[in-house]
Amino acid sequence: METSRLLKIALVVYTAFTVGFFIYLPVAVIIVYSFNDVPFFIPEWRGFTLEWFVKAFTRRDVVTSLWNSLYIAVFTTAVSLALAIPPTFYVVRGRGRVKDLYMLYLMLPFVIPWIIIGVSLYIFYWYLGIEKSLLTAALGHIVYSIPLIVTLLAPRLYSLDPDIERASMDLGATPWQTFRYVVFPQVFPAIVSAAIITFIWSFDNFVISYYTLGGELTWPVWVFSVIGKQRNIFPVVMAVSTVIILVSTVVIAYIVKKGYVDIL
Amino acid sequence: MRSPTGESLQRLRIFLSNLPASAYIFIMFYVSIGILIAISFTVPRKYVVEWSFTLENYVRIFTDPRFLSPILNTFLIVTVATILLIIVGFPIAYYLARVNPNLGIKLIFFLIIPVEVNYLIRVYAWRNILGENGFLNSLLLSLGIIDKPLSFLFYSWFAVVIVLIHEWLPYVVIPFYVNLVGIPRQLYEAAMDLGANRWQIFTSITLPLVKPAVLTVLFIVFIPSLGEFAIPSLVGGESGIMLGVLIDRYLSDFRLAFGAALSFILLLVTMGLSILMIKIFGYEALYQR
Repeated sequence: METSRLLKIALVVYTAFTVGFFIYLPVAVIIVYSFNDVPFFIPEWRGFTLEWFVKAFTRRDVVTSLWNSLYIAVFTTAVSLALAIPPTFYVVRGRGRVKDLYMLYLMLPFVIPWIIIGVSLYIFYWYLGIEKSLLTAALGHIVYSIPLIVTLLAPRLYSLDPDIERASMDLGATPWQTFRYVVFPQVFPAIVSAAIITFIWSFDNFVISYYTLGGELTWPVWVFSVIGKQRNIFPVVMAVSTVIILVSTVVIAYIVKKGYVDIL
Repeated sequence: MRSPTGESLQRLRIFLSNLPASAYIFIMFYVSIGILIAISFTVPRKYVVEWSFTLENYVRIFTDPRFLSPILNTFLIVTVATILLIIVGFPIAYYLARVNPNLGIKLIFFLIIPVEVNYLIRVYAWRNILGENGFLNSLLLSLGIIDKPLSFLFYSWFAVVIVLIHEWLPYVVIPFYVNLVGIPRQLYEAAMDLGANRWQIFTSITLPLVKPAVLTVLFIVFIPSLGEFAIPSLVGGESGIMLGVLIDRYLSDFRLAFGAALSFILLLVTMGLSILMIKIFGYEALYQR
């Protein structure tokens, strides 16, 4: 479609400003000042140092919290995928009122704020006398991850042709073989992108972890617990963030380039 | 052809394969919400639950302005942030999808990178930009535009809105982008052949067809933000107080009955809004992403 030159220029400038300046400003601040030779944050450059990187990755609480987040995110992603794939097929292929009600049943944890899941599990664990741990936090993440995966996978499953599966079954394949060799290759990219999003959301989740963790903290909860209280912790947090940006950008770029995902 | 027994076997298989997820959601969500609701109707005690029915918590919430104003504030802040997000985000998506499609997918990639930094840390980075000793104030001071630091920039509802917009902007641009890319080009060509001008095309083709993206934004931005507590507690100050902050205050003080009542109000409102949107527009609204 023809768009007038003036509108085009306005849109270029606007997009460049919003993305380049507004979106990237805090990120740029974090990356640049993670190398600043001052033990707290001031908007002033005092020379280059790698001290905060060394400090960050030799601090036990920092490293442990990162491992804990990783553990919870991997566990959440694996279990949620296994649980969510069969209902996704039912939701896409099923018809009628029962299916509609089931959809609502499944989706409700996803269409309310996370704090409600966190608070209700906090009371639930307390009431049943369940000791909170990394596992109880992961179990909380799975509650919203199941409907999240359903919403991510469902649009891709609509485009599958059920006749191909019927043909496979008619030729003597078992349901498992049909899933493994006929369905799975077709939905693989969708499953990968659903897994990535589930992983990132779980790794970054603060609210549910905050209410369902025991003594061991995840990275976001650790950050929340120290950031307001210790002035000299921010350089360390910025250093870890710089590493996280670097690693995840490389990983995502690799996955996108390999064509494992259609749209992220 | 399928025999009747094959049909019921199929049903059994569907039932069994859906059972683990359904049972999981039932116990971890519905049962725990049930306990939360039950506790919200008990007498407010610290550290213990006294099982006798009362409406005391709710009466207090709805009669005391100390609770009503944060609740109204929550809706005000989140509504303003959502409207601004759509206004700010739509032109970016439009540019990527319609004006410069080659750049589109690459820029989406660049939009995702900032999301990799946990939003709590980005909140803190904002403090170093907007705070009293932050970049913006030092810049304005050195340029002589102001002679003392602006304090409304931080610890205010203004800061909450800015940080919410920053947190959610990629999640607004992406559904609009996906939506706009999906509109077939022929539709525009046909409209132009029939003599429609740009404004007519925009209002009668583009806008009605991006409705699903608006709904997605309501589901993934508006509803979750109503329960936000980390952002307002870090940057909100007094004017930026939100319902989530209150809930957390009572919970960390172990006044469970009262915290539960506040949570149940938030649950009812968000659930009501969500079900209303689903009933009107269908689940497809959730699928756009």
